[in-house]
Amino acid sequence: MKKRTLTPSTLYLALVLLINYLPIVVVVLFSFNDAKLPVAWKGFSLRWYQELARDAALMEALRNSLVLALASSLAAAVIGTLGAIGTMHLRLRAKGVMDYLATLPIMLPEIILGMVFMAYFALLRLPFGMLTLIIAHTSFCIPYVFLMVRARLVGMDKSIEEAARDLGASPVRTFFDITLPLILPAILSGCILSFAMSFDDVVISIFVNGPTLSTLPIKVYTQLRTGVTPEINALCTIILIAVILFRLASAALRRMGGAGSHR
Amino acid sequence: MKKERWWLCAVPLYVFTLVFVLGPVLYMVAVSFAQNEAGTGFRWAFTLDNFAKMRDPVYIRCFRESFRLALATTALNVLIGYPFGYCMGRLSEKGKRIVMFLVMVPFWTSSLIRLYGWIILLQAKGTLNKLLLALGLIDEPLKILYSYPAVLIGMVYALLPFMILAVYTSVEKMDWTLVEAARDLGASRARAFLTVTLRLTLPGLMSGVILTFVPSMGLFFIADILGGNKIVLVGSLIQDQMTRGGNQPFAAALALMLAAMTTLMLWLYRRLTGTSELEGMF
Amino acid sequence: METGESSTILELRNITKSFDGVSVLGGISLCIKKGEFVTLLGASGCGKTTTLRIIAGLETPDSGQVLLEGRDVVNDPPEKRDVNTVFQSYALFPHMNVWQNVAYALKIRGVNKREIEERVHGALAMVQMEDSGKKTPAQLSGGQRQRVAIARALINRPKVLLLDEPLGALDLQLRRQMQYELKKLQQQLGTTFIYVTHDQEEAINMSDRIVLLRGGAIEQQGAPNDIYDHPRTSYAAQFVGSANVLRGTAAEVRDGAVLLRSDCGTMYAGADALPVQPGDALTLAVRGENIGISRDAREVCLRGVVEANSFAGGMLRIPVRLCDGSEVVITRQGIHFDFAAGETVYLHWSADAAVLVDREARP
Repeated sequence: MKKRTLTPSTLYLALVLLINYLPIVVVVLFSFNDAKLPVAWKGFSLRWYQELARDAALMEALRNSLVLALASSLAAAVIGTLGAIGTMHLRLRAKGVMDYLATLPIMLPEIILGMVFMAYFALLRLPFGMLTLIIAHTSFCIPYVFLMVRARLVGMDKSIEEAARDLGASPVRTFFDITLPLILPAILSGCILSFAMSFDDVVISIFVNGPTLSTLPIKVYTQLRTGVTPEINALCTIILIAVILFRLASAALRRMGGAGSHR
Repeated sequence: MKKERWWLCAVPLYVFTLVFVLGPVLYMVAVSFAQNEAGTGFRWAFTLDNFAKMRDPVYIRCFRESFRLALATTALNVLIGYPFGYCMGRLSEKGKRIVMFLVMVPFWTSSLIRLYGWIILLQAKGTLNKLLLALGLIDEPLKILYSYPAVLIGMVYALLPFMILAVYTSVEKMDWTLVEAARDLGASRARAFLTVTLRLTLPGLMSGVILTFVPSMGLFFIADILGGNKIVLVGSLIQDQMTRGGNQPFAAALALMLAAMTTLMLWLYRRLTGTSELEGMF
Repeated sequence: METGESSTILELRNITKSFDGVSVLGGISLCIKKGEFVTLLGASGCGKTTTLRIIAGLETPDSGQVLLEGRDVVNDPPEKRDVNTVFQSYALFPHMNVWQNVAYALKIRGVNKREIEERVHGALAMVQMEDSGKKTPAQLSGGQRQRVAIARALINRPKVLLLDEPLGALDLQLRRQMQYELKKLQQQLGTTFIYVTHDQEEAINMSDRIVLLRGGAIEQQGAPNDIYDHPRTSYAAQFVGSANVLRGTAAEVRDGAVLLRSDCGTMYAGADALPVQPGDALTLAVRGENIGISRDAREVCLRGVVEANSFAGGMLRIPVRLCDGSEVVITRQGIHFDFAAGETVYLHWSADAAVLVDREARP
């Protein structure tokens, strides 16, 4: 896009991307604004970052969100990966139905999932809080891992595993030496996507979080309805930078891993 | 090979699915046929009242509104996202990587914060109005925020990455020599596009339509925040009935209706494309 | 168990296998001697790969026994069998480099580091890949992957090496070279090779013995020239060496030759041990290079019309259409041929050039 002449096609891409980034840029800009309201520019300041560090409630919400996203994406990674492997070896008449049910949580509008969980957890008399949040989030994280790992397994050359068996590896050893390394990228992408989805979810969380526990998106949501403090801008800027750094690092890692030898 | 016990690995998934997916869904179905009792919750007595209640013009309008918004969102997403995915697929490998990165970064940041960005931009004293006033294009601030267009902007914005990814995946997989062959056989650019390109990327487009239409039926919080309670969607209605309204059976009936509609969409998608996987997601 | 050079190393007894109710192998029995190069030859779907996979332990037969050095290994998993495989797709581990691929089997067995180093080096040198240890499979060409796959399968010094169409993905020239190298390798190591292919040229060039499979059963087995010269069935005659198969009625028998009559003329075939009565319906196989062609009719000959000829594999193939519509293909070395397309010609061969096939009652 730099060297070549600006064709209508690249111009269009640039324009859409620009509009896409507009709201983000605005949020980042106003995080450095020395004013309470995001209306006019009053000069550069880091005061919202300082206030953010002091805002115990917001930090608590951030911590909750991180714990929740980590726990549910990890649980989903384990259950989803095992499930993908297990269903590959399974011949069951109800398998199609079960696989459909397992992926249902991402096929339904979130609102339905949220209200259904709310009613169901009340029925089971589970105390609303971190536990119910983790269960609900795990349920919509599993399909991402499950589908990605299964797609990888289906696309894998079966004779690679057979070769390991042929060379003397037991089934378990074959799994850890061959299968796992080969499906690891899929597990990781599913896990990362799950983490992002969980970290960002508001609709389902709002039904099952309980009266006292708050996640970051819930905090932002209530503020959006009542009044936003610029600390949120500051926090968002920090998250944005973290995301960009993470993506760049993983892209660089992938390139290094692709070129050199493994292990 | 001897039958190993690998299938045991599927047990956690199936148990979880039965307990936390099938269980809740069946419970919701059951509740939707139960009788509401104001104040005390509901009574297990079979009734169709909850579904009959939906015939009330207020709720019908609500469904219609949601459907219209979802349709408009999807249509705009197709108009913006298809050309984007198409142009993206024609870039060099490096260009693709860069654009993919740029598309994904907003996707990974909080959707609520991005909505907040739109509030800042669109509010009466906001950036957009200031810009337009300064340019002399308008005399007084536009009232975009808390209106239908604002909701539409927010919805399209939130769901555009899904459409782009779906279309891009499909364009990426396409065999361009087929287009060249069509041109070689005398098809005009437009005709080659319509008969070959569009035809071959249709699965991606369809999957993009599903990936934007289904969630947009339920994304009530965008309408809440950008629409300022003026637009009541099914999602808001369900939430309202579930929490403040305290009518769980009616909320369940509404949710069942919504679920039926989205399942119908997915079924249609499967019928039309003959695949079960949504292109661009996995 | 070693009782001299010609002892049996592997025996299949009455192996049957079906997939989803469709029978793939209908009772295969086979004896393979130590150090032998045996080729399982056949068209796709004949059961050759399934047979190989059953020997490797990657499939379990429905019934029958697999005896490795006299011990039934049918219930042993692949990792417990002293047999290694070179897979059709090579099946190199994509996340390991060449060295790690070859060393894998030794690592599993817990061989000490120094010995692994030595043996991997030796194995890579054996296939002339000692400089590529650090490369990943993705960085190798098809031929190189092939070599690595062979080195990896041989590192364990298996009693039997199984090769599943290993040259199928290579181009013609490389295939010829690899045929030679594989044969040389097998002779050096003295390892028993069981080789699966659908390519008769590979089978003839490399094998000590060819086992021709058809529809899950053994059609014929024997040394390459034995099958080539004495095909027992029309299928064997056509599959090995692409012989022409012709039908006729026995007219007379004399001096070890049978005279056959057909709609397009007469022809000779060598008599075999079975009796022939005049009037018997017989089938004979005759190879293209043994068919004589002339402009003048002879006492015993077939009449036909030359069709457009083609040059392939260093040979000229001349199809001649007979009066009943059937086609006889004549082959000649070089590219010179005196007859033009459309010309009427007469085909003839000596009695010892044609073999009677499909003789139902075998002794």
